[in-house]
Amino acid sequence: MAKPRIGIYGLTGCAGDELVLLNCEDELLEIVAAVDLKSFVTAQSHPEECELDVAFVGGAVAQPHDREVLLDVRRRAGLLIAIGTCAVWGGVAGAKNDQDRAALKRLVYREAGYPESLPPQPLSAYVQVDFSLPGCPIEKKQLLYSLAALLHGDLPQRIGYPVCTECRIAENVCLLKERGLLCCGPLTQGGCGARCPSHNRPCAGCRGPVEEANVAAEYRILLEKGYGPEEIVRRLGTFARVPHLVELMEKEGKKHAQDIA
Amino acid sequence: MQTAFLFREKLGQFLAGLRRVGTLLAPQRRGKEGHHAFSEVEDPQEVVLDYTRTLLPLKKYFLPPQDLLFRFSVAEGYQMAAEGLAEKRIVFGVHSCDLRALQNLDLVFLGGYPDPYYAARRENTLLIGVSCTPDELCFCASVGADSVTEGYDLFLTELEDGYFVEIGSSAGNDLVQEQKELFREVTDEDVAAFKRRFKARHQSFRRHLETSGLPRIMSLEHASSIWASRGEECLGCGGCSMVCPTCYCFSVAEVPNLDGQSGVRYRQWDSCLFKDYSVVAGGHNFRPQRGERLRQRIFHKHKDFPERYGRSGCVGCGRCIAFCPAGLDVTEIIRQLRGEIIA
Ligand code: SF4
Ligand code: SF4
Ligand code: SF4
Ligand code: SF4
Ligand code: SF4
Repeated sequence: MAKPRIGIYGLTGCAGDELVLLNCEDELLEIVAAVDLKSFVTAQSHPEECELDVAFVGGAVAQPHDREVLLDVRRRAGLLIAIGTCAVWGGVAGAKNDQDRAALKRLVYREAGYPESLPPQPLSAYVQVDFSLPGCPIEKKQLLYSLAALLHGDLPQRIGYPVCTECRIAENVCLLKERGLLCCGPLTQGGCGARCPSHNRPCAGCRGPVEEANVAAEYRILLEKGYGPEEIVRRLGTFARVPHLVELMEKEGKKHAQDIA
Repeated sequence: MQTAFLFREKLGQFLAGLRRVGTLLAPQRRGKEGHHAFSEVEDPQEVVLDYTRTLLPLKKYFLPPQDLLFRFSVAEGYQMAAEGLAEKRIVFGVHSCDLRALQNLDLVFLGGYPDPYYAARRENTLLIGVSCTPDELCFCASVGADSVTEGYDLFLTELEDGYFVEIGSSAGNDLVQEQKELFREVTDEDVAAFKRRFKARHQSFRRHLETSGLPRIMSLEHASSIWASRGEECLGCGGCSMVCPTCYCFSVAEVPNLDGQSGVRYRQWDSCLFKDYSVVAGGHNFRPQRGERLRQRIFHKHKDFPERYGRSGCVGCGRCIAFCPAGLDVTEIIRQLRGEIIA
């Protein structure tokens, strides 16, 4: 069987997800031997832009150029895999997407201007994404697993449980229930092994929402613990400000206000 | 029933002796402010006897959260993983509810189709129970799990100046005989003290679950609106299943290697509270709503398991109540179903 042709691309982001691949020091030679790496500008001088079996794309679409690259890669790739929370959910850069773009640009770039900025969006806002690996940055273990699954002719398995599941397995104290901290664990896709709560820090939600995250319930729990609506939305939306989830929170906020009135 | 009396000041020595028999696992505190957790004993001084409940129950030693089943490769076919299965272990300090829960797991994993991994671990592990003091969340007495008459090698009940030891197996008897200088014979006064303690404990339960006719009531309330309304409160975190000593669902996954030729298969804990738990091939989900999933959990414990095995699927350990971040309480939901409270 011919080796799969792979391309790795970065749109607007910190390139942290591409670095995770480069940090797989022990496995790099094995990876390079197993695939036909066509394009990886972060690590390679002479990329070849051709038809691809799999494209990994990190970063958010935050400027017209990103959009062009993405559409071009999508046309050439059999499978397109979003890597990192920016590519999957819009990431930190999209946390202010509810605010006026022109005002934000003035605030950040002053007179110098930067006319080409778009509200940062996940890849799925523009193209079909075949698989998503969230994380800020992605987990090395999942990246290797996903690569291996693809080499076996399979799509990787999606993680359908939140950070709490792994946090319970780690036998941690629950920072939300027992310490009253604003922990995003119940809403956040698992897979990091509950890294932050295992170090006594609440989960900041860097992996984005788990499937069917019950944001209304978490929102209410946090209101009852004394957090303010703005703070909750800001914290729950830091890495993934997903409009319909924000809407659910606002709706729950109104219900709660009625209940206590 | 064979019995013995262990001197209080000899407990540390007894535990040290157990470490010579196998890996000693017992409740210890995780960090200064952490929960109690069963973990390997390095220093017998660290073992806590008066703990209320560990976060994870005993099942982690017999059905680990992630359990390697076999390796496969094109060249060598399938090879069953056997790591750790033969390890000799002693779990010390197990409460009755957790012993009872293990019997439930035995019914499932040693019944019709014995599970070789579970069976081997079970075979090689000795269990030493210890008496406990119920807190406001314990309701084991309501589901017949407040005392066990089998399923342990030794069971220690704390009395004034030591431990009343019930010997439950010949392996348990060996543990006593090997260090018999630490024990004396039980006196009539010990038996009297044991009985007093038993009665006092039984009277100290503050939480009760009325189980009479429960499977029938659950059937009648299958379509109740309570499920949907309580389901909206559930975060779907699966925590209740992870911490539950009688939850045993797992999913199976393969982790292939980069060579494209080999890999491993393992199983890992799953929960019926997860949305993708009930998705079948073709994408249909037969429990798409949160309320239906919450109902599944309570139905399995209080209707399906009792109907199939003739005993409660819940041992009343209180963990799911203690650790649910949404504050859901199975005893309260059942009272609601029984029409005893309106919420
Ligand atoms: S600390 Fe956070 S992640 Fe851990 S169980 Fe509690 S809410 Fe979930
Ligand atoms: S615990 Fe939360 S913030 Fe921390 S790594 Fe995991 S998903 Fe990210
Ligand atoms: S259902 Fe709850 S109380 Fe019953 S055994 Fe499981 S964790 Fe314990
Ligand atoms: S079906 Fe649900 S309640 Fe029953 S054992 Fe499985 S996870 Fe636990
Ligand atoms: S622990 Fe509570 S919130 Fe989490 S799944 Fe169970 S019932 Fe729902």
